[in-house]
Amino acid sequence: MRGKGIAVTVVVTLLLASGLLHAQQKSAIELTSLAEVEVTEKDAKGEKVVKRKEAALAKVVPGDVVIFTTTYRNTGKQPATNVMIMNPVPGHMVYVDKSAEGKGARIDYSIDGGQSYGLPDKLKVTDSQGRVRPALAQEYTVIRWVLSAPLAPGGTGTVSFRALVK
Amino acid sequence: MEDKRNLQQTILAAIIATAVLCLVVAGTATAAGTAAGTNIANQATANYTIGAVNYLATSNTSTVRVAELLSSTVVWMDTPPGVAVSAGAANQPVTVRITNTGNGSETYLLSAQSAGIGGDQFDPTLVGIVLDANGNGIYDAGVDTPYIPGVNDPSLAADGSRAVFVLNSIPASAANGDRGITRLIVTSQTGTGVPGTSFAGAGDGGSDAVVGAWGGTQTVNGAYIVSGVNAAVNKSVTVIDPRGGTQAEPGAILRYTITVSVTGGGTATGVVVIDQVPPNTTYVAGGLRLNGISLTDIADADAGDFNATTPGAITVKLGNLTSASPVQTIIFDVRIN
Repeated sequence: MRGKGIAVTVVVTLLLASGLLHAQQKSAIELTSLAEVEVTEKDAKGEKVVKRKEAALAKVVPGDVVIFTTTYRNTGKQPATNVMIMNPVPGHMVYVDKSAEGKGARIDYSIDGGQSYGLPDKLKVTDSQGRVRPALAQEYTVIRWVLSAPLAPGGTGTVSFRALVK
Repeated sequence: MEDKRNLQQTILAAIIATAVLCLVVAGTATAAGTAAGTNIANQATANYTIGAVNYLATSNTSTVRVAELLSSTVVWMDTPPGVAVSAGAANQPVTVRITNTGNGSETYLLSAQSAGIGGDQFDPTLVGIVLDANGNGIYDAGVDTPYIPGVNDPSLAADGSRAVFVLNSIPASAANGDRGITRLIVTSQTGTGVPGTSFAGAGDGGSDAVVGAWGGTQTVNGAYIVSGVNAAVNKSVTVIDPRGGTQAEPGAILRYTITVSVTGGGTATGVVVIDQVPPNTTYVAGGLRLNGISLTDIADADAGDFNATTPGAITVKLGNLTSASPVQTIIFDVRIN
């Protein structure tokens, strides 16, 4: 119950921030988030097939991997430029290495909650002894997709990543 | 415009940072994993530019509710091949530990069986199941609680662990070396089935429960070995020469350490250790110790003496010992003449 309450607060804060900056204009890009899991089923021939199922309808337990897919669409009449999509790795989860996908997007990551981003080979962590090592995928806190081209009116696409339930 | 954009990015970064922090503190994670019933919320944001104006968009929140994984281990804790007992002994415990390796609390139903298992030489006589009330993992008669099905079925939180004792009496007819098997059957109250079987709403916080690899039930065997009591005595010596070295030369001290440990079933009564001081050495007065405590050399109320009970020897009375007694350590020094 506590987690749910906080999630609602975050939504309100985000809406408030965007409202303050652009009170007159409605957002042109719509984002839809979908959480799915892969389940192995047998088809009519008795062969194993991997299907995706909405995570809310599946029994997700620690150790399971959830696939988060965000669909973006430009519902406005003008092209959108400098499009960046950010998705924090949810609490109780760790990012699955090399799982982020997004056509036409450069993907970089944050290990400091979105203060800064970098490609995997540029992300470094300093341990308690002062030694610098590459950041591990499970230390990523936010994934960012930077679209390489403007998004035309009506243009749409998807970005996705996988995370494991701790 | 550039300033405004930077400001907006900063605000966005701060919002994301806040969201990450908030989501991390919600719910309780354990070694066994995220607690059953925890809601995991995911939300994406976008920022973009139209014309010269920056915008922010947010997605819906997709939520995943963590189900309860029914997962436990049941392990026989005694040293194989079995608990050493003597024929005719009553209320002998076999210790089993149940650990909840799932991510929610679970209640267990217990049953025990001793007769007709096979693969052994005798059937122990089942007395009952006892729960480890004080959590020390050792059966304490009169302290630990007899198990009554449906009344005090043990519950364990995620990562919780508890010892359970199966009590049996050993038939007087059992011979030394005979082995007798008893077993404990542990079953999840929520349900059993092939891994992946689920029970809607049966998990913590109304989450669904899913049967893990253990199938929701496990039978574990423990055993008794009938054995006579046996006392093992070990003697070792270290040399300390007058120069601080280890040369066995005139004037050097020989320090003897004698340990006594008892194995097997039953009680070794009136155990006495007698050790002659070797020829060409002289006993160092006042050097006799038992388990780190000094004993006087004269025959008196303490356990040991030198040259009183037994001429030319140390004598230490250890009394009654069982396999549960700590190892007894006797130390004395002699000087090479």
